[in-house]
Amino acid sequence: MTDNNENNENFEPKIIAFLCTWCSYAGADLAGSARIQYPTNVKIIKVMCSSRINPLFVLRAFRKGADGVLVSGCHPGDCHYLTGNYFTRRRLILFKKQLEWVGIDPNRFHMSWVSASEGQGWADVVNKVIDDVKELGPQDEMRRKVVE
Amino acid sequence: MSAKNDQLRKIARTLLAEGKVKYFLGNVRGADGFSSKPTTARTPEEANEFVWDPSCVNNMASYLHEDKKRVLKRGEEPDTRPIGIFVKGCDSRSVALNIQEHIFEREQIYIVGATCEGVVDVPKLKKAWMKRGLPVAATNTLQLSINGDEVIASFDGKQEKFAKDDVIMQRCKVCRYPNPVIYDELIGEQVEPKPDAYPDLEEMEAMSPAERWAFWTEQFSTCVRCLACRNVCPACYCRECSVQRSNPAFGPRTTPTEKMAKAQFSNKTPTMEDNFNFHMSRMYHMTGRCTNCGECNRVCPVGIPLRLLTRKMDKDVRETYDHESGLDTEPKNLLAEYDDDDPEGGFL
Repeated sequence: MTDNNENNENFEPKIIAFLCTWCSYAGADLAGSARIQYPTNVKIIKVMCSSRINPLFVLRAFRKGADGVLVSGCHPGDCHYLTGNYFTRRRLILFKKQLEWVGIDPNRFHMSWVSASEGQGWADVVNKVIDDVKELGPQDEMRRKVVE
Repeated sequence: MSAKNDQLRKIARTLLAEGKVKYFLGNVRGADGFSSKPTTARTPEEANEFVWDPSCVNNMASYLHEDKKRVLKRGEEPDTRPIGIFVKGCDSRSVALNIQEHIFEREQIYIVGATCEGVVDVPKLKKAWMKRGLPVAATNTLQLSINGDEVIASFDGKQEKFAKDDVIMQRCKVCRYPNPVIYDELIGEQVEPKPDAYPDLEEMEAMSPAERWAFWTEQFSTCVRCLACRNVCPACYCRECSVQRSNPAFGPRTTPTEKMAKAQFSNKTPTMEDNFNFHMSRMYHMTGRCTNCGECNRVCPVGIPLRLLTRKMDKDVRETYDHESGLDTEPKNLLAEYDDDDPEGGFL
């Protein structure tokens, strides 16, 4: 990470993606088995449902040094638990506005719906997120600084 | 003004004398003569000390939670009578929120509401007082009242007038609920609410993200994490706060569930990054619940404009979901409900 930060040209962002098991993770899995190429900057954390994601997880990811965060779940109406992603939708839309209000660039935090059959869709989402974050450069605002 | 005082005292006295409430939460005059302090009256005599004037800034709804914390003595019968509480328009929303969230039932609280023309910002009033060279000792007999655009302070038979805009709380200038939304008894006449607008946010909204970040960095870096904003908040009633965990001890038998429940979202040291996390956590937890009483802003010892956060949140929630908390006692929680037709903004 620190090496990347010094040189913006070759900046490789670290992106934490929270994926729901049933749709988005399966979609990412499908992208793999279909051999769709996409960058490796995304570090995936699998959760049972996108509504499991407390927005504080996002803050924690940023605090630990993530350059971007992506939260992905099933399309509305397709949730394995029937209603989980409706709650996610309300939470994250408001949370993103709050991040914007304190001056975090909205492109650092992305939300998406990816279903289990959308291998290519997942690759597109990842590419878009990485492009956006690369444009912004390393995230240094919320990262916890260790006093040396 | 004294008529209002008498009315409140009479109501509280009657309630306590008849034993209708177990105790009554209200304001009495503080030691400095300007401010008022929250107090609990258990006898009719104590109720005679109550004041209701523009110095009553405290949101009494926060003190309701103390009732839940009390542990009964051995053999003591629980007192099932309601708690009497004095509320202004803004406080009544906080009480309503607590009823909405089933912290209290409606019949557990006896609400004495008062219509409110605004309360004074005590530090500002003190400053104005000193500037005019008025005697500090005179505050023993100080009586405050609001008349039109003036705050009138009378003491020792003399009167001193201040412009309302200079000494009034910032929150009262945009108050949309000066009249209590729920009450059992009402003091005063209906007051005209302020227009539905957010003039206090315009300045921030015009800024670029980078400027906003610079602004908040400066503000949050002064935070000493005294947690006063959390403690005073009538919507913060968790036994254990997510930002104030005791140091979690993990052993070989700690289950993943326990580990998750003990995740630390900000460290204890008040560094800028952790302060940022704390305030963001607080803001998020208040989403759709905050009643905009503005108490967090008032109690902050380092003067962080926390109200800018809560006001913006209020605006977002109202614009996006047309939701406002604490307007009635119907159970309703923005983030615990959903609608198929919710806006889809921002999802890839």
